[in-house]
Amino acid sequence: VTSAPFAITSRTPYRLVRTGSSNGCDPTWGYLTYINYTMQDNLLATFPSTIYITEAWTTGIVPDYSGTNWIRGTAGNLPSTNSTFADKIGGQAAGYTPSPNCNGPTTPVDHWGQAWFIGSPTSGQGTKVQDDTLQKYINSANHLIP
Amino acid sequence: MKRMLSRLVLTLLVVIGVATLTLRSTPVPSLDLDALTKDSSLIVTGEIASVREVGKTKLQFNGKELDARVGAGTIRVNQVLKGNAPAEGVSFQIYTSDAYIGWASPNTNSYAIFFLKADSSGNTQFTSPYYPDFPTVPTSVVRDGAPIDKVIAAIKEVLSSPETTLNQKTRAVYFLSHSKVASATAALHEALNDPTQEVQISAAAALLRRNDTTGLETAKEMLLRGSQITSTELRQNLIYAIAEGIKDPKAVPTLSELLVSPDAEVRRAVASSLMHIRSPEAINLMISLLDDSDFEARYYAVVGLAETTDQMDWRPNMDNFRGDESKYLKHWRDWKTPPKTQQCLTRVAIG
Repeated sequence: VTSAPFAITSRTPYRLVRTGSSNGCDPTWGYLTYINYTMQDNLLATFPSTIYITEAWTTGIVPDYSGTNWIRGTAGNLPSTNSTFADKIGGQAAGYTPSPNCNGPTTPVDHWGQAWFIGSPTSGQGTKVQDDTLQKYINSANHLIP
Repeated sequence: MKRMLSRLVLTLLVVIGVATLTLRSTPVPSLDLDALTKDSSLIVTGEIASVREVGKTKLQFNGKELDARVGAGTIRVNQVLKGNAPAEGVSFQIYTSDAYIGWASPNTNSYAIFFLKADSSGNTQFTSPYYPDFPTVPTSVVRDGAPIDKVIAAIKEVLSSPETTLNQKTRAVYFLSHSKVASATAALHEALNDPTQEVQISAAAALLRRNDTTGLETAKEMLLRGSQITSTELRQNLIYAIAEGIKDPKAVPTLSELLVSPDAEVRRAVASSLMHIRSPEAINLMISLLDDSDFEARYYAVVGLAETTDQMDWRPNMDNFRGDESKYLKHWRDWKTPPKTQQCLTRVAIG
């Protein structure tokens, strides 16, 4: 007996849902910004087990502030046990231009392209779930979504 | 003077230790204050009295071996919130990776709550390398309750202290928002009445994220009068809280008022909330959202209608919806509210 045709949807990593952010002063980096996310599949559900979230840089550093020499490191990853994570972004250590200041103005310093992938510990592998611009300011940082 | 000098030396030690490192953007686990409290065998308030580098080691992190430095320090204890602390202070070990992996160094310049536990060798270290300390104020006096309630009370003191800055207060609300216990919710309710708008908005967002609609009226006022919120972060947090936090059907009337917003992000958040509410009371609003100019708002309306009326054949994933949007919109525009649902709606209206 052949059943009636039916559709199935296979679940796959699909998107990041931003759930909030927080910015605070930090004696080392000037500020620390936490941008919180929940990871979802294509049915807008979270994942039942530990899964990797990985970031990648998609452009070089683009300066916004005249004379800036802030630097960046390698992209990071995290095995998330509960489908949530926070992107922890610091300002800049002492000795660089301009000085970060958590109570200062929201003046752009530099930015670059950032992509997020789910499912692999290797930067740039897995399923891409978000492209954004990591924008750093004198007082904080943010993910700007086009 | 001696104390100031000691603080300066501590700060220099930390800065020297990290100045060569590069930035600082990496995914870290979300904060769970309840779990952190549970996992800690010792929680104290106080300040770091000393910390010095005592050696180097290798760390295993996400399958990689990293070079790290071992530090040893002591905490001058004011109050014990959990466990037992020696009178002379708490000695601890801390590991600092030379590569930036999101681990935090405890703040050496301010009073804080420290979360500690013993490792397999019996050394005391911070329970979470990501979240070693939390804000409090020296004047906080915490007496009774379970450890988590004492932690909440100590953080809450930041809100009432005349010495703390606005930034410290909004950070305190952020930390309170990462506990689900009743005392944290009560503290957020109090923060809703704070004289500063920024603290009010932060508290409203934190409450909405936990499906507590006490702050919804505040959120509505702020979002409909956009110029009142000068901080992009606060405005975004309110929007995200509405989108992902609210699941209570009692919120529907206030949510409907937000649909007049010209800001697509606000309407999208309302649509997402209605989708999560899954109540017959939200059906008419979701139908009205089928004609919204924002794609995601229309998608959430379609998913919400399908899940609320249990028509899962008409619940597309986002890619399918994008590929054949008109088919789904036509189905739901043509869909007539079945008598049973109408009765339910009538009962709710009368009730």
